[in-house]
Amino acid sequence: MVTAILLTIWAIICIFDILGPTVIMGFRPLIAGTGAGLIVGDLNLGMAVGATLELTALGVYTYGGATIPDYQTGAIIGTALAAAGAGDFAAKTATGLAIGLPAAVLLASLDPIGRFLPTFWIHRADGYAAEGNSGGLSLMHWTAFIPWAAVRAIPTFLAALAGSTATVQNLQNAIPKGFVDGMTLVGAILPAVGFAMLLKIMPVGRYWYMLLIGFVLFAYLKVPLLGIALFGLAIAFLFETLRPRTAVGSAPPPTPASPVSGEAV
Amino acid sequence: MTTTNAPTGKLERRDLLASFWRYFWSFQISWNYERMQALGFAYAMEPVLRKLFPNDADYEAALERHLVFFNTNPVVGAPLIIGSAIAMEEAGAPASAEGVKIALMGPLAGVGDTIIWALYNSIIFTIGASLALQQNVLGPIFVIVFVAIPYTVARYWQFMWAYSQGRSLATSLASGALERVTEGATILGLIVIGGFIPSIVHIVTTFDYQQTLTVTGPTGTQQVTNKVPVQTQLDAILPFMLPVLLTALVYWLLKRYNLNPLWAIAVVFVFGIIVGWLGWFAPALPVVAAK
Repeated sequence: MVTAILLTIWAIICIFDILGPTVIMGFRPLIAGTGAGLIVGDLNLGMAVGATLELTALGVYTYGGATIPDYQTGAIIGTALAAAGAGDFAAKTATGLAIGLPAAVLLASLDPIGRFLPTFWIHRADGYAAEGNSGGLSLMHWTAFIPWAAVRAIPTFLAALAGSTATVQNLQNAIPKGFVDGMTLVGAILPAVGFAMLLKIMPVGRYWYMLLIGFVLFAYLKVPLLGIALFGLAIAFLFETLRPRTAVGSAPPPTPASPVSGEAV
Repeated sequence: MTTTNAPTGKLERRDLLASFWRYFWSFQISWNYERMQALGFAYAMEPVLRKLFPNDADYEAALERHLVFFNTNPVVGAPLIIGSAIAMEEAGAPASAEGVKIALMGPLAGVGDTIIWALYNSIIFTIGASLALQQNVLGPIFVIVFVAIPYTVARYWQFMWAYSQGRSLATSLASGALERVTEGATILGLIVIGGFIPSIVHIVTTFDYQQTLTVTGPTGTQQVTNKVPVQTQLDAILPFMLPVLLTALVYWLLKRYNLNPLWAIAVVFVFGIIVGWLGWFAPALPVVAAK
């Protein structure tokens, strides 16, 4: 019970962090899982579950308010239930992934509720603003966090409470080996979605050959990732230094046909 | 709204800090589908507006005009826009404040999402997760240090810089510096992603086929049957072909059909479970003893 309450508080801290101070990135599975590991008394397990989920979620961020899997709750629940399970470290980590990843995807359906409900709060805030009531405005701002917290805190609490040792071991026994193989593959290929999402917001059409540079450096020349990043930095500087200044910006370069275009801005 | 009376108050550093800390602690906690970061923006502006407009009617009008739709990157973008909006309100140019919000939120969201989420975080978290997988507690600590310090410094600096730039901010940003930084970061990001894809996405096929060769040796001619893994053939054509194809396929689905990312994840999830369960594909080929 105490553990369940602590995990719930941790879930609220994690989502508060990304909406506000953003100093620990608590909503990322690596951090959420590590914290959950500390709470359940198995730090290494929390790190392993969190880090495995993290690699499936690289580049998966909310762009413009889109809903993404709730990796935070997935990592916390996965770690908590895996700690209650049986088996060696590797078996527990596999359990954490087998529970955490589906949980993250399924619980994503709650996220839109947390994003929708504060709409009522902002209409109240409109009223307070018209009255010049700064206390009311502040109250609406802070309490609008309740739906955000609730859609993560409630599933975390319920799962942690239900996850007794016996329940989890039954669950573990019920998971077929093929499913674990499948989950392992899912963990290894999900980063593709993260990278595809990143590429979608980047001008691939214009700079596709930059991808090729990184690929060749890794696939053929076996350059480590830090080396690729440093090389990329050099190319980026080179590219921007050599670019003619007039080519930058939306304003077309002055043409002789328009006599007024010579004015300096 | 341009009929608002000119502000009569004078801002001190204390007022700026009050606004900054409101932004810092709680900017997005009231995020909602209808107006996204609007309430957070108004909440951050409130102490400054109270100071600038002692007249209640002006103050109320000012609060209302900052409760309109707003959304940008919360780390790179929002502090810059708040700082500059404060400077313009102080200068008695609320229309300019609205203009700068509308003009900058989209481009800065693009810059911020690319630089902070896509590029910086992916690198930091890949390193942190790799350390954590080796049961090294420095992994998560590394991530927190490289998030907390640079983020906070960058947010504070943007806020104060934008305020001090005031009206000349638009000129500074329009000089092309912003575009150059974005272009540079984009190029760096694409090169890194080009290397990330083969190093982090792991999928190989476990299919193989029988190959019968007729070998003529000193003991005479004999038929030798070998199992040849399909993966070896693929590697000979292009290393990491399957991870690249998979990423390209998901990109195409997202781009062409504007597929919701959640659906893309669900599709890959189901695909992975099925082909992994059937044993057709795996993260890596099992290590076979030589010969």
